[in-house]
Amino acid sequence: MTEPAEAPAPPAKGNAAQVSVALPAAKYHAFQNPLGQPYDFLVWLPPVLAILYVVGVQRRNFSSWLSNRVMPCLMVVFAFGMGLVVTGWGGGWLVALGAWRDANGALITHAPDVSAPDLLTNLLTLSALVASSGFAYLCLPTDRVEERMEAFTRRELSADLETANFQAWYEQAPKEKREIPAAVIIDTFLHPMRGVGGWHTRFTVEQGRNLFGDDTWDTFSKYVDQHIDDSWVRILCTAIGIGMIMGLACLFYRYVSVNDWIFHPIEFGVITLLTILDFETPALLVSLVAGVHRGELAIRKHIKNAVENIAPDVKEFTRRNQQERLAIAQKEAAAVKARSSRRRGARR
Amino acid sequence: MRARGCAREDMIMTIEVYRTQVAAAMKRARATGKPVSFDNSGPAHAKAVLDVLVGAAERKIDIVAGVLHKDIWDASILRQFLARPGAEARVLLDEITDDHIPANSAVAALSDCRNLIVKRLPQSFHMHFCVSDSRDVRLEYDKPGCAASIAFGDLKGFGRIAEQTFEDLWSSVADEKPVTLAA
Repeated sequence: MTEPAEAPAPPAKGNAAQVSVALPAAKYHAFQNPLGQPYDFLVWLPPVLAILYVVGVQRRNFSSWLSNRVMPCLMVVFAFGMGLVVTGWGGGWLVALGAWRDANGALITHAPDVSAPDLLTNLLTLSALVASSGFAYLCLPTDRVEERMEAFTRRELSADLETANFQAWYEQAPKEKREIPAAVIIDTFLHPMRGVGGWHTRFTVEQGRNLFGDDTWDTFSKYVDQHIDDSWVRILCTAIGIGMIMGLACLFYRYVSVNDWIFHPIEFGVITLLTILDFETPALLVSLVAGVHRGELAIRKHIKNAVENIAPDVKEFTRRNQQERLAIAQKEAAAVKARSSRRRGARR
Repeated sequence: MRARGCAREDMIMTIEVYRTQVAAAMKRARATGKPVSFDNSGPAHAKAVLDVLVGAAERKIDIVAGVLHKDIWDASILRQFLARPGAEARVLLDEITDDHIPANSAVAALSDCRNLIVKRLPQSFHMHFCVSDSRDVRLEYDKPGCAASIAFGDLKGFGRIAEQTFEDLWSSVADEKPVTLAA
């Protein structure tokens, strides 16, 4: 590794505008990275990849996709922007925008008690957190329980009945038909609640147990708490995990490049917490996903059965409608033919 | 923490997805030999259904329509059908005046197809419909909204009755000359 150059000495003490603590300049050297500026790449790569993924996958539906996610997009942009602002405020806009090579010199001059590596770590971690959480949420709409179940219900209906046929039948069905379990299950899953709470709040615990059985409902709802949207838990866990891994990687790189480990109590506490989270997060994720998955598989079987049960009524309704309409057309055509025959007869 | 302000996915099906489902319905009807029935509404969905229906036709297509609007009826798909050996299409139009084919009609692009016979229906018919090979039917019961009942593979029921209905209308204009197809 190239020997880092001597950094300029910080301004003399007493200049309150510029110096708060005189730190050994030797501890803070300009990054001499033989690979160039990988941090720019690391910081901006996740958001760029996320944008490319979204635009690439959504293509023609991009504007519609975006308009349904205005608030989450704004939140991601705001959070990422705040990360840049905080970092820029602490270390100058050069750091925030990724000009790491120049940043260290500026920091030592203007804010010698601020560690450029710390700032980089903060920014990278924040960036990774925000981008990961945004990416995980925005790009995986089917990760949301209610949308997953709605999509599954539509697929099951389309395979046999068509969703529109079911809805037409449901609208005119008498009350006792609408209240049969199959109709309740399908109609509820086809119309998930928007935003707050998600679909599962439409079922009370008693309803859920009656419709799906105690065991199935309890397994599913154990991990889909009535007060927490499971996607947020999952996103947070994913984001924390990814972000902390990147943060630890940067800290390790700092240690290797600066050749020293600067002890700072807050930093130590944060690193400890992050390490714990890094080990806990995967376990939490696995148990969350596994639990939800087991419960969902059982619920899906109920949806399949519901579609099979309701199919005869819906098909009969659809065919009756079609026959009535065709009978009207047939009668009218016969009348047209009869009139035409009479006209021809009259002409002769 | 709740998912406040997070909108769910827009569930209005894209036309491409709908077209795929219609094609799958046709395939299912052919594979199982059982009729597949559904309803549809809207001009875009009507086009998707008709593209699939005409594309799957083998021998004969009978149509009762207003003008056979080119936004709904794809002239290239009709042409592909008419190019098949023994294929024939009979069309009754109830919204054309005299024998003039309007420029917005798909027929205008098919003037060179000799196996396409177009006649004018003197009076407006309550419902427009299309029946192909006496088994695939689209019956439009709400013309302004393009709402229709569709049945694929219903040879014994829907298809047979629709075919008979068309024959009644066709025979009512037996004395009429076919419309000149050049627009």
